[in-house]
Amino acid sequence: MPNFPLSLTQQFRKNKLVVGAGFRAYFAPYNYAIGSAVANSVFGPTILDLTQGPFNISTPSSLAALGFQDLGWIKDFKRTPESKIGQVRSGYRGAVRAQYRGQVGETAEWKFREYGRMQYKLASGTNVINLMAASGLSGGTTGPLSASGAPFAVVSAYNAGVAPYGQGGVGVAPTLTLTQANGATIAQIGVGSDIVCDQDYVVGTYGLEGDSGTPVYQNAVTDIDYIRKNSDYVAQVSAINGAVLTLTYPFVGGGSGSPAPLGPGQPGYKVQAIKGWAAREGGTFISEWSGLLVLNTVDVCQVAIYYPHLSIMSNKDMVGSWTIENAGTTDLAGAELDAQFAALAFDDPEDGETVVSYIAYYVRPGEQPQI
Amino acid sequence: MYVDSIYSHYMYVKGRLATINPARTVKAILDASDWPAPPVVTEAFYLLVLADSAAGRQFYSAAIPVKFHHVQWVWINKGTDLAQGQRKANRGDRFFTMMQMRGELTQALYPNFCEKSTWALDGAGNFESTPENPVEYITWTPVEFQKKSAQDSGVSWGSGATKIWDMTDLITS
Repeated sequence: MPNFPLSLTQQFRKNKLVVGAGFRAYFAPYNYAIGSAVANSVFGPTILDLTQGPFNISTPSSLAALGFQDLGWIKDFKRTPESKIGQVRSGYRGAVRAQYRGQVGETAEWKFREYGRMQYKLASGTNVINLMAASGLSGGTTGPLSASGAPFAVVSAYNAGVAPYGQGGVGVAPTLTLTQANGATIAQIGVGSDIVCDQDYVVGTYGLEGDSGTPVYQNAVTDIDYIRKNSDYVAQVSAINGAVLTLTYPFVGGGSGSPAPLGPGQPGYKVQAIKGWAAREGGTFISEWSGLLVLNTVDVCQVAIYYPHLSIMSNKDMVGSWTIENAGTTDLAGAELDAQFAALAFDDPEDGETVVSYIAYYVRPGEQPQI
Repeated sequence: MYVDSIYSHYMYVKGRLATINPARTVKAILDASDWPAPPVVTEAFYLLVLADSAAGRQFYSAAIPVKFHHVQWVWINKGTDLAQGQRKANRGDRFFTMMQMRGELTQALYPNFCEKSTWALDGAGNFESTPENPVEYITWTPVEFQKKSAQDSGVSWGSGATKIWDMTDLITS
């Protein structure tokens, strides 16, 4: 038999292929004021230790313990490196004598298939404002978001629970204890209610306010509920026993406050019912994050793309759709949050290099890593 | 061997079915032209092998031909005969059983991939597997169900079709 050349037979090593079903997104808030000067903590800038990978995405609580929340399956993920290499030419032939790296940058685009508050905040890049739910609110005719959140209940203690938070009878569900046994009734909170729990805005203060780090201009805000309206600390109530509200999942987010976030459920925080949230096109706020996008393959290798500092570049669509076959009747479609993000600079303390992303590859069992 | 991916798929799905519904019978792999094989066992799964097609130009290799094996999980529902004294439609549970078997198969096919092994009968007649080294996986497409009713016999024929994606063995010379 002739010995056919490899170039004609297209031989390949089977366990060098990367075959998976797409990426999953994990995000942590980025603290604008602290920057990257603090170590890994639940209050972002959450520096991810890549030596802890490959990351167990089958157990979201394991990444949550690193400060990263699971924002679900994403679609049409596309990286666009924008770093440039400049050339120095010389001589009458104009030959390249040297190359230097100049501009550093990267953009990334994807669609969130899941439509939640954190995805909303990321994709819109704005401060997402909670919509108060209690009846009989005043002020709503002043502006679309001006309705008062009163009434409220006051927090005396918060327990974040233990993953998976009582689901399937495993773990411990988070609880929020109020100062009054009838606090839930006063605040018009029942089983199944969605709530927000955060501090009062102190009229006259300005800067990055609250744990979500919402910028407030001097004398621009007079709403005492402003921090709660911008708070990431939302949850659903699954049970009420006197003063104790059981939550379906702990509070997440809120790592962007200045100088350091206080954390959710602090004594004295107020609890109010919400019914949703709204993003606004425009404004000045730009949300910032640390991001981790993970691709698992069928043969247990993992590609993990880590952005230490990521921010919105453009919100392309919040109603972009994928069609659902619905012959003979009206159109039926699913909505996705389509956004493009810019990777911001991170000065790697390891060697002082300014970079914008890390693309980690964790080898599969039995793979020869040297080729 | 060329057939290893089909064996791997069959044994994987059969293993999951044993957990999902231990009472469910999984009978055999058959060439589609041999179906149904006597004796006809109703309310039981068979795996029929229909055809092989090549992966398109996006993934062509002469040395490792990449194939899609077209297979169908099939079954026949006769329905349950009434016991003496029962008053309801005889064999009237065929629809329910049909849907139940679709559900069982949908679960058993999860997550649409499994490890590929080589398979052979040992001296005692046991079907033994040896995992590919280095580890190799096969995947399959989402299952699509069809149903056919035979008015003359009163039985319902069910099928769940899928295609197994397989990087076949390296041709070395």
